[in-house]
Amino acid sequence: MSDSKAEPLVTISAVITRADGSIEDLGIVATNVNTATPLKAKLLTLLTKREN
Amino acid sequence: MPASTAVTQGGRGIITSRLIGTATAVPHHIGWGTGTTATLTTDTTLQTEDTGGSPAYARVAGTGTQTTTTSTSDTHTVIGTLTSNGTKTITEAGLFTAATAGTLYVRGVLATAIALAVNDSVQFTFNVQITSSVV
Repeated sequence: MSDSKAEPLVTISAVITRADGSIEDLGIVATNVNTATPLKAKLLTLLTKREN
Repeated sequence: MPASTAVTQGGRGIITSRLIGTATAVPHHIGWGTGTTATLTTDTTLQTEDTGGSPAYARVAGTGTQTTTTSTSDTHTVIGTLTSNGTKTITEAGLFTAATAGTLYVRGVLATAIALAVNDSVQFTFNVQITSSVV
């Protein structure tokens, strides 16, 4: 649980370079950007279409 | 380990201080650590900042720029690379106003622990987007 708020929007990304030169892009490793709302909207749209 | 991150309360003060031109330092010093307790806006330090090893681990001064996420220059970006001085597992990272102590601007607990061996390095990119809604 966090008391993080949606604003300002923070994202932290990370790329590892191993000692042997290999690279691993981890992408976003932490964010407070709320992705639940678009997902809920998409689910609602799908449900609505099914009901029609 | 659920990820969490935020601009801290101290970070809010840094933003407003910079806006009025007072002498608060630029928050571009990147530290990392092994804490896993979720981020709170009241955080003033990393939970367990890595300062060990030989030579002792030190924060790295990243490069700060204005970048564009949604509207022109709406995002403060800091990029910096930290190199591991030993075998360790990193679980948190943060931005500070100084190489030691200083004010914590952003703390993040990582979604996945990063296991490192000596001389592995991690390039962190911190993006803080300033947004505003019309209600």
